[in-house]
Amino acid sequence: MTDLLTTLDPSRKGGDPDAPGARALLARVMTGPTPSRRRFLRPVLVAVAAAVVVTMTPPQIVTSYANAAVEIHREGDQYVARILDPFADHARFTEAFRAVGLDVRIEPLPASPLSAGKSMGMMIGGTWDRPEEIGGEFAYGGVVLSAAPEPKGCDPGSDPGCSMIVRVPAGFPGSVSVRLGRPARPGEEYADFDRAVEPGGPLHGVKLRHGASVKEIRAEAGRRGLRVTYKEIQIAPDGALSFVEPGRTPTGKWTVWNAWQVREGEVRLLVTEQRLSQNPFYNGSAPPPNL
Amino acid sequence: MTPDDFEAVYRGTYERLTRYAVRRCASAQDAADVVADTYAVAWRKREKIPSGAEAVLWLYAVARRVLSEHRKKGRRHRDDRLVAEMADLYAETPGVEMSVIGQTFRALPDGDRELLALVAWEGLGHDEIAVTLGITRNNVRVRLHRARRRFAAALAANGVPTSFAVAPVFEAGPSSCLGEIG
Repeated sequence: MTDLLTTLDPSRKGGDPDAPGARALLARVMTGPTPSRRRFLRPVLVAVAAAVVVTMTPPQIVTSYANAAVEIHREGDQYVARILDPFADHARFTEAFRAVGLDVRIEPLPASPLSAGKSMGMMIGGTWDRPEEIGGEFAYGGVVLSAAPEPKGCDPGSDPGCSMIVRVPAGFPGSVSVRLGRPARPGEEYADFDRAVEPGGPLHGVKLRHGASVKEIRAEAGRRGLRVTYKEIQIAPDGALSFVEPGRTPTGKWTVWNAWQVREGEVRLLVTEQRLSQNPFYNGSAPPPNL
Repeated sequence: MTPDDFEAVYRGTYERLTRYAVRRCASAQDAADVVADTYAVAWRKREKIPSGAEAVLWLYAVARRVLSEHRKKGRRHRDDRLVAEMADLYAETPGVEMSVIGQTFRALPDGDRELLALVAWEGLGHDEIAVTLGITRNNVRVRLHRARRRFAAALAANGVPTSFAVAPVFEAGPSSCLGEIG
């Protein structure tokens, strides 16, 4: 009887723990809260005692540090890190932040020219008695954690004097992981796939806010020398979207609601066979994309 | 359990746990939440993770609780990459005819559905199901027998002949995740 169900399996295959999202999840999970302190007190004490015996001098925490990748110095109640080489080995960043007593990791990810050299987001781990927010941003001890080019709005790739700056409160007990865009190698998939229609993106100028026909967008992509692939949009009862390989090749009459940049020269159109009453990407709680 | 041990558990169970989540959540976003929350709980309780083959059963049990909690939570920050990776794990959409079987399966009581899924999809034996659900082996046998009987009866009532094929198990309902047992 259950044999009959076997072929109904909704999952095609299992996830790959080495995929970027899976690796990031593991890193994030392992910076989470640890088990209750009481249970761990004894082993910790033993470990500390052992460490003292072995290393007679504990590692020295300094207030400034520089290597070829990053330069860090203290300004009042915060550390300011200037990324000198966004494409350096991530271990160089980790080592520099550790030297000033911070757990900050810079995670370089393949990106389109739009995001190369810039932050693509920051993940903060740890637990606090009183989470703070200043202007909607996460803060600790009155200092906002940030990772952004300075002077504000500049482009680290082209503007002289423009660098990515990471600001972290001194003594911050949590962990920080910054997703830093680095130029993708030929054929490598972009982590900033959702910027296809932005200025500078491969499909900038294409209007998808109210949907467009596959025929029209395919022709426009062809004129721009882009290879086109498709994902069909599925909408769950709660409005959540998922994307699957279309059951058959979309015809020109299908509707395009969004487009991703997959890699250099390739875009992925998010389509439905039937036209919908409104753009499903424009209906979420998050700020709507600029379609 | 050291961080290295935990990483080994993560790597050793990720494939099966992601499939478990994908099988019970209609959307990749929800599946990503369930996977992320399950491993977050596992990290907090890592001293309780059993060694060897039982680790994944323990994680299934955690994922079950996460699924039932998931309904109560709103959406939150998600890693786009993880969601995209989850989306890639879903089987292709089957035809309309097949979805009759899917609908029938979906309409079963939660407990029946979960038992049948653990057998058919997770491929668990009675002993393993007993560990996952925290019930006795004999209880598994009795419940499973009843679940199979109800499924067969429901299929017959829907005019589905005894030959079966691929079907989706999610299509409608208040939540896009299935699989919690009340």
